[in-house]
Amino acid sequence: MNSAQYLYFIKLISSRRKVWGLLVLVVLCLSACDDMEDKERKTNYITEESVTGVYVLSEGLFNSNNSTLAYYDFDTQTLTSDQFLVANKRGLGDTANDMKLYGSKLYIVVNVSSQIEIVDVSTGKSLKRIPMFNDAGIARQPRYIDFAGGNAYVCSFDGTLARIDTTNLSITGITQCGRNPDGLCIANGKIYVSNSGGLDFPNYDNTVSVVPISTFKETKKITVSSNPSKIEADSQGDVYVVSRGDNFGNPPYKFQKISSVTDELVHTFDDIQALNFAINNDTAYIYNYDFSNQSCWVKVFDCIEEKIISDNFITDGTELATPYGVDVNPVNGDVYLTDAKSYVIWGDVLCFDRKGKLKFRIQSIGLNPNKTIFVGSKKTIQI
Amino acid sequence: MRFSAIRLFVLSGLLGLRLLPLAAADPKVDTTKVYSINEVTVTESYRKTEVRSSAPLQILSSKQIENLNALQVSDAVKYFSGVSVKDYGGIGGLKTVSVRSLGAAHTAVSYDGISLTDCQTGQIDIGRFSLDNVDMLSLNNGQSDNIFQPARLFASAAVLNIRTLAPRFEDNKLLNGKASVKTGSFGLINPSAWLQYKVSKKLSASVSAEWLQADGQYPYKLYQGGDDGIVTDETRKNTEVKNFRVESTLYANFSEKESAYIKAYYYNSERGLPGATIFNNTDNFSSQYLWDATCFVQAHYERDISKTLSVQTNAKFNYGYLHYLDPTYLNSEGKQESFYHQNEYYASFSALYKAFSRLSFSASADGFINTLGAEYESAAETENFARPVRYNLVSVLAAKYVSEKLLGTASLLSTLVTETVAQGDAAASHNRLSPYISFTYKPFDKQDLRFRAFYKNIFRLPTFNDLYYSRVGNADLLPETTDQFNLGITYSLSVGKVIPLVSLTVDGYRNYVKDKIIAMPTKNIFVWTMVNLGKVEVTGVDVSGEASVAVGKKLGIILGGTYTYQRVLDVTDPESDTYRHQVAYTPRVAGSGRLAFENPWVNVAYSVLWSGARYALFQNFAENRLAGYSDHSISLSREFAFNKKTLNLNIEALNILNENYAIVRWFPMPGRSFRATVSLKF
Repeated sequence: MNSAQYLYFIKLISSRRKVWGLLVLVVLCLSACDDMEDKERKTNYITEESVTGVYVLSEGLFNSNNSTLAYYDFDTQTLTSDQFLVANKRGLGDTANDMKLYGSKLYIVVNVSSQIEIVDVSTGKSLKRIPMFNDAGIARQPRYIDFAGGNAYVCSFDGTLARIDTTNLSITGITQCGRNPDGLCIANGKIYVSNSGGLDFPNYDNTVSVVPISTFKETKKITVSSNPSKIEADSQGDVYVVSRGDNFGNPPYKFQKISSVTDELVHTFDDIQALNFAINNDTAYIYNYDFSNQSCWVKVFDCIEEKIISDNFITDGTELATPYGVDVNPVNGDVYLTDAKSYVIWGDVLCFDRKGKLKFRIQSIGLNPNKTIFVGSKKTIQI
Repeated sequence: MRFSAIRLFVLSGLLGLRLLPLAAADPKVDTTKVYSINEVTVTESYRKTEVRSSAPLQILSSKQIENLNALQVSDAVKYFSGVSVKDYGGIGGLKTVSVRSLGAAHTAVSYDGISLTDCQTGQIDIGRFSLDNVDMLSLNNGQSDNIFQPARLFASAAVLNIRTLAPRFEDNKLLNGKASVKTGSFGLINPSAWLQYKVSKKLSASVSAEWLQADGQYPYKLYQGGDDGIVTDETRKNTEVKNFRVESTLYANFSEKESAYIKAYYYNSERGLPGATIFNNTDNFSSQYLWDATCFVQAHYERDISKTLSVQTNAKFNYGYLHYLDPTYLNSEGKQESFYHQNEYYASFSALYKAFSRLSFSASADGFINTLGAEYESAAETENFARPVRYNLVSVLAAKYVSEKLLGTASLLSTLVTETVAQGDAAASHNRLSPYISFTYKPFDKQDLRFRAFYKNIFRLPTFNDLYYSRVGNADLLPETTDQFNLGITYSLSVGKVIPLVSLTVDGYRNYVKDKIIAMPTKNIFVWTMVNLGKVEVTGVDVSGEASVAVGKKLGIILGGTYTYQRVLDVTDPESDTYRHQVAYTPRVAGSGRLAFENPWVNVAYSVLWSGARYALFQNFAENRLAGYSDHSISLSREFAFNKKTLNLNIEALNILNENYAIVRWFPMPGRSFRATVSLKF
């Protein structure tokens, strides 16, 4: 400012009327300055012949009410970030943990909101919401769901297993299992529940509860390695379960096999330190993620031969940052791996063909995507 | 990610309530008769101090605070420019202050010149401080122009000073006092009183006590599907709070050249911790509870040994206690419970040497020790706790030059820190030098127009939670470092008797934060760990203005406002999906305004806070956007004087537009509410 300008400035603000004028001017300028604009999410154009679309569940972040149910429509090549929100004018809630398709209904397990949302798969509309609270009003915190004989079974962090009738969509029974169940599956007429004991850190549980469907009462606890979680059966009635140890490598992650005939732990695959897996047609896709060096691998395991048939499923050099869920398209065997990236930003879903080549990637699908469900008229699907 | 997320949440947020002291001498601002006097005079004197400061300084006098419709210190601090108060809502909700987006751990808070600290969380809950006996609040960006203060007040990126009322006796009075009762919405009952007694010519004493309780059950709307979605009417639960505070001070003015005080302070509170408002489970966490207590004794002694040499010494002992309980946690014990105890032992010595009429030098050294102990619901966890002890030596050399046209200060701070632990690995020792320089220049004799600038490099140490918190802590952390550059213009003007004061300050700044300490799941998704990852670049403008208008002797209008524009960008990694996204919970624009109309009948005070939109998460996606808000409050008050006593009646209507907003997503703020206060001063 030169001295002439300065003098003008002084003259300007020395006149009282102009003082107020200046103030008004300043206020007007300032209130018009919010230039913060939303950033666009990346758009994806993907075609896929086998199914009409995929639902991808994202659990969001704890205490953030931002679980989402994205739908990618392959026919129209459009992504709906939250089909549940669109159809129901409300969000799923907090930490949607698991989702499965049974008949024409999606069952979504919302852990922190402590609800089971039952959704029409064709519209995303909620048909019923089942609150999961005990008599004292304390949240049971449901974790995982599986189905058998017209019933849904849900294990919850409060150490219970609930039975839901899928015709009238109501709870018909609750039974006790171990500490903080964090996985279940059904084989040979029995429900197998992984008791993680995760909320008792560092004193994890190390058992799998066996609950016959007929009596709906725990008959046995099978001892496995500490902190069991993901559990799934193959067609022969072998139950595979992952134990995560104390999460510091003590003991390391374990991939184990339980016989549903003897209800005994029959084998530990010491060379497979698995974090998670999914089985389709007796082929298991197993992945690990090493937090110390941010590296991961995906292996293929033959559940009949009971051995690894490929040490490196991904054959085209595609890199995953942080695998968070794995599902297999039952129509064509494509493998869908979700990538949670840094957990606090929107993750992707990557689709690989059976040979481990990347077919496509749906970017920014949600926060911590954990489950993919395949829907479409091109073939009847039951998972 | 849930397991430790629960506690992590608590530790990063709701536990942030410990205070420990540290020492500081007051800037020798014109403190004359701040509370019993003509408003305009007061505003003027403080405002001049603000305008003359070489680094931004903002002051709120007790009189100005009265016009802000504020209950807690946190309510008043929101009216400073460049400040964001993270407020979880309600009286009991955690409130921390971040200055110019550097993060709450970079803001020091001093109480009567001595720092409060919390070595566990590194941030002070300023919601726990009442305004009842507060004489002045001030905020220094960078540091104060006063170089004669304890070293620790040079050791942070910004300092919030809380100064309590010191006794002032008019005429031959021996006793001053005030008693007041506040009551209001959501079960608020808040009686308080203070007394000042003149023991002798040289000695005086004060005592101040206060009780506050509220059930805090305010209604709010839960938007379950954005603006167009389902909205449910809910009531905030588990929000009851009970606080008790008592403090007493003995002041000695041995002579013009020698003075001292010793203060004892005790505070305790118990409160429910309302959690996030979870869809379909709003009672979630509705039984978590927190008990805490703080107790400290601090002393200050100051003497002018000669015309050129002054010394002061400060000391403090602080004990902090915190007990957290979640009785519905789904573990074997059926609860999650922790107890924390922290101590601080602190001593400081400072000397000021006025070498020349315009140039003075100071040296200060502060030594202090922090300890933290913990017990958990499980013996194994208790056994594993690090039980850290930190030894600090902070010293500073400073110089100050003052002339009619130029004021400049410079300092060099040295920090030596070493710590020991009973379990696990101790953090490395640190030895750092931190420079600071500032000046303000007044080019014209007849106009109070000044140009100012400062640069400061400073860091904050990792907190004990960052380093040692169960599973989350990482003993390898480096300090989080900030660089601040500020350029500003200040201007003040008096336009005759009608407009005795118009002033404006405009500061532009650029801050860099590096080695930012953030939580990341590096070991496992269940185990989040603190890491030094993150660079933030802050570019901002702070504007503040104030004007007063006097019509005759009895009518007066005072208006003031602040405005902040901030571009707070994540510049950690050009490859990342959040590169150059605005950092979570920092609005691009925010501001405040206040208007007081004083008259012989009923005084009216209006105040407003507003904020632009913010993002609740790292990516600037529409889904993460949190709407902007404005919060308007108005109060009416009237004083009745009789028999040398003053009776004051005050009615406040808060958030009069009943705006349902949140500062932290899913932690709603109260809607419209009312308060009434009756106080008697003698």
